[in-house]
Amino acid sequence: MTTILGIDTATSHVSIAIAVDGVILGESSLPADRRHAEVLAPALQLLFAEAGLRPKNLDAIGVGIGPGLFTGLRVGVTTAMTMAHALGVPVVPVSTLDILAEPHARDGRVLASVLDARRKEVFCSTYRTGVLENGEPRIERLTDDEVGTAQGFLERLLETRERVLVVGGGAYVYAEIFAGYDAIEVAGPEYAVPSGGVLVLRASRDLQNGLGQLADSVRPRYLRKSDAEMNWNKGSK
Amino acid sequence: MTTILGIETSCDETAAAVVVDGLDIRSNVISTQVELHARFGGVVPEVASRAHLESINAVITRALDEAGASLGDLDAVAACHGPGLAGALLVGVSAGKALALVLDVPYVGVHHLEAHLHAAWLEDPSVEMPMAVLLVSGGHTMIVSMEGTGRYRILGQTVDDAAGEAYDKVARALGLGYPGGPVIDRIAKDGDPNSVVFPRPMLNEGLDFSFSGLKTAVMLEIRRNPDRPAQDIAASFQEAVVETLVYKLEKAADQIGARTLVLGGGVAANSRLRARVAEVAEKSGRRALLPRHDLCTDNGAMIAAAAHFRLLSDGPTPLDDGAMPGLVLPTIG
Ligand SMILES: [Zn+2]
Repeated sequence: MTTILGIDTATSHVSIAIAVDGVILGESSLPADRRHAEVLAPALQLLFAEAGLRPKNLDAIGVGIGPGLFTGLRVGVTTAMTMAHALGVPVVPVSTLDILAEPHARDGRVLASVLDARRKEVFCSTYRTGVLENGEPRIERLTDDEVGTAQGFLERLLETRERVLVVGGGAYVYAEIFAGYDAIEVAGPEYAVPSGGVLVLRASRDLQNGLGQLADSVRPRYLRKSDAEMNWNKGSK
Repeated sequence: MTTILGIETSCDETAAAVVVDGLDIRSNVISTQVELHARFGGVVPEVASRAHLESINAVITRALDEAGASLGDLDAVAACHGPGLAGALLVGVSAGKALALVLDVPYVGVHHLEAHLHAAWLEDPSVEMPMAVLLVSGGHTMIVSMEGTGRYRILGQTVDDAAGEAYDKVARALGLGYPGGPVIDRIAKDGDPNSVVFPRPMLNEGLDFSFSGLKTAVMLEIRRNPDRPAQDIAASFQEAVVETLVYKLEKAADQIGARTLVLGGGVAANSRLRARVAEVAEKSGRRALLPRHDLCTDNGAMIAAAAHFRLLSDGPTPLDDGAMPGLVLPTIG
């Protein structure tokens, strides 16, 4: 029996779930704004209680490693790393953009996963989707996780001349940028927040495929340097 | 016997310690980020937060190893929850709560300044109350009357810069790099403390401090007399800071009838300040309690020690408490 906890705090929500052998026993997604640390620990406590499990039952912890807003992101990653370290179990890192993309694996169009990165920029990645001959969903990454302007990302999507489904909270923050193109559809708001259930099932699969890591080797995917480093680099040029 | 793990990540030290019964330090591990921030000339919050995340678990493991303890020995896990840098605090708070969840033991959120006050006690638990405590670092400058655990009165504090901040700015102006405290302390030994008489701001105005005027006076002097040796400027600046701090600490002790003068915070490692506090204490028949270096700077032992007493008085901290960057010291009267 394999019991896995999933935690994602890379967006304005705290999303968590527990699955045993690929079956979700409980999940929740709570608005956190900037209060991820306040929301996460009690939510975990409740989740364990409702699932009738204890942390020591865990075999692995899946965690959304971003990209996302740094302070919230670190709450989930630190929690996952510390719990896993104490329990001696692996961490399975998952891109938060992948968590947003997963539910649309069968869509068939190009998928664009987008999160707000503030300063008129987005974190984004793209995927090819569809159904394999054996009936399984097909989702393949076309690009790595990146940060850039929403406008620039849109232009690259248009250049592909493919039909595109845009998912994730960034699609709403920059709704006017993505609106008005025949080839581009923005998925419903129910897909704007990363789902703990999606994360934990993905982490279960990744664990089976040997993608678990030592707890201490996991790092958030920041994609951006701190302001001070950016300014310092500018100044030293 | 209560064994507590204390975690401290409020600024630029990632620290963890194991303390038994609030007094017996079994380990005190401090991983400093000073070199990471040196090129920026000050602590960069985002750089600090990232570094805390990368070393927190290794530091906790080392604290347990050095204490000869295992996770199962812990009766509670404590973390500093403010004041401090929000992103930095959140790493320690998240790690502390995660451990408490896994081990099913109480979590205790600890006030950073209360922890500094407890460091003196760690040095000598038999010390007589009230104590006049001077807390000086890059982030705080204050005099506190400590009358027992949880019983504090703030007698005075800086109205602008912290003393440690003034050290950093003066060091930068002299081209001495970062952090300023140790390097100014070192070169001041070869300088003449009377070569420039810098102002002693607010010396006769109660127990509050102000260092921004002094800092400006030093900058002006550097510009006006560029040939004056840095050693002399450093010594004269340090003399002005130390004289002000010690004068007010003694006045505070008089006011509350304290028999003990105590130093805490990173600037408490300053050799001139320690020597002067020892001198004035001896002259007035008082005792000087000068905690060793690793209990003055930010550390996990002081967090675990303060947590021990908070747990006894208030019980565990609810898990829906987060980090509080602007937390103020709970005081009486
Ligand atoms: Zn401090």
